[in-house]
Amino acid sequence: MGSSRPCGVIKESYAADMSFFEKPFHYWAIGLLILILVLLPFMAPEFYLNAILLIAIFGITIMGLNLLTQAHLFSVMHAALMGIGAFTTAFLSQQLPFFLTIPVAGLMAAAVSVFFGLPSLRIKVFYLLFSTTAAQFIIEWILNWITRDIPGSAVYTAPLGLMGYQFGVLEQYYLYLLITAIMAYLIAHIGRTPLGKAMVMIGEKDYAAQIQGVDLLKFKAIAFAISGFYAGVAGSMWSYMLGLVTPEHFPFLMSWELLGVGVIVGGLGSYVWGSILGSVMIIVVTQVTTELVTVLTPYMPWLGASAFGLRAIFYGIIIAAILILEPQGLASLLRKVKRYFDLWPFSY
Amino acid sequence: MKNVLEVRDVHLSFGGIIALNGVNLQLREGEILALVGPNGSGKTSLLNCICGFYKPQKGSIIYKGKDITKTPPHVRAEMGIGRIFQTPYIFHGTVVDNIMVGYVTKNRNLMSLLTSKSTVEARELAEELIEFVELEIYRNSPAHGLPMGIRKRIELARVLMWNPDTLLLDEPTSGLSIDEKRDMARFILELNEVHGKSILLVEHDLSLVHDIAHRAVVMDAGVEIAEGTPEEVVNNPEVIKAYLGE
Repeated sequence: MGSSRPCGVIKESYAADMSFFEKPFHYWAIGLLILILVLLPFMAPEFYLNAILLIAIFGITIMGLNLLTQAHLFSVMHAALMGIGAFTTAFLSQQLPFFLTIPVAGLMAAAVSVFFGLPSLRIKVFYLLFSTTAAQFIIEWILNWITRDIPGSAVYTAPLGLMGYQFGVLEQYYLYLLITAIMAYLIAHIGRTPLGKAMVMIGEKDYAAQIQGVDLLKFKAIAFAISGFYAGVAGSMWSYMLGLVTPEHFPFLMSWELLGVGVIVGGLGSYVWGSILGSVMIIVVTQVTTELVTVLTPYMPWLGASAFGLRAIFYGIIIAAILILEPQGLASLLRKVKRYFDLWPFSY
Repeated sequence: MKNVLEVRDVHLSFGGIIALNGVNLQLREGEILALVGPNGSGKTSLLNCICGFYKPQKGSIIYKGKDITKTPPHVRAEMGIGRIFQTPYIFHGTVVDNIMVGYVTKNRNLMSLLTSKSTVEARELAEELIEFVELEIYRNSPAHGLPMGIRKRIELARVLMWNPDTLLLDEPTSGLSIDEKRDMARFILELNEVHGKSILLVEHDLSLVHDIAHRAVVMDAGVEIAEGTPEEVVNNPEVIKAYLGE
């Protein structure tokens, strides 16, 4: 049984052995990606920038959800947790600057997440799916109740800015990229710590983890807190982007999309790249299938108003095809590419 | 020698099936106590009661003078009881990943656990234990698909991460080759003689028990039927009857 590391890579410290990037080309690849993202606003229309911001926002939620799912804590309440973050931001944005509202929104969602995650000590998998489904509807109801006297339940968020200066699309774009990079670094770091590894063990053998000293209540609560914080931060960012939020922005189906497409199709256990790819799937496939239906509808007039249903069918076919071809998710595809270049020019 | 672990009149049943029927046992400090008996005699059930996996319906378990019968399993681990299973519980990850999990029992400070310093410290400890159980060449290999003998060593190293005083080893040599058994026996002896661990060893291999255990307790049908040195219990008529019948 050989090592899974590419040959010719010599590490002289444990810190180096656990570093995020193993070979020079990894630095080149990430440098190139950063360069493209930094220069993109000068080359691409605003539509694409908004798409990237959405990918970043949903990517952050999926990062936290990915960690939670890795511990086999299946949650379908994350849209609602984003809602908690978004409404917290909307209510606070008139008084507090964004660098306070975003973490406060994260903490608020983390607290709610822990509260609704506590039953996970007793219930697992499908049962947990049901209990978090209940949590989604309870939170939705609470958001509706809080906004019952506001026309359309729409709460306005103050424009993103600092000390009287209002951010434009460009500033918002760079700020969101920075936040996404920080959140990505943190989740990747957590995954490398013994705590992150304990999450994996809890997911696979929670009873054995307990016998070996892992306090399940504490660790499951931590997983829900981290995951909730990520959802809250993402919800806060979305709130600033939308300018106003309503409970309808955070429906139950979005929670399923985050879990099913974001985590599973993106790649369970791949906290950063799997989550980002999952988010790309949600945003891009939604857009592509909508365009496809728009193009096809004139050729199928007999479908009438039900033509829009085709979008879900196309969406499902694409997701199913990806999972059949890459059961480990899109992150697995990325790993194959990385592996190819790790071994280049002697790849097999 | 004083007792580090005492099992007093423990009863455990699953519906109508009696797994343990008033078992008493004392593990002395610094000894290797073998727990032997035919399949279904209650050995693993007793280990499960000691580590907190099962809650006995009656009786008590005393560890270092404290009654731990109602103590949660993770607290028992923190108190110094380390358990390895007959079938090692290895999760998907490398050998290093699997061993590093044990660090969360050693360092219970959450904020400290999240620092890079702790991660490197956990890695350094894991490397020391990888050296102890001689798994250097496997350190970055995916642990899940490794042979049974290697997986048992991984689990042993993971438990040793938090340096427990007492080890509960459930058939550590089952499914191993002769060479692997010899290696495992060497690790157990070193843990006992050099590191002073008290060890409760569930084992079917009586020659191994004879070689490394100080004392042996024999169980059959949920009760203790003999106790003494390995030589004494092997020649005990009750033990012969339990294994070979009338």
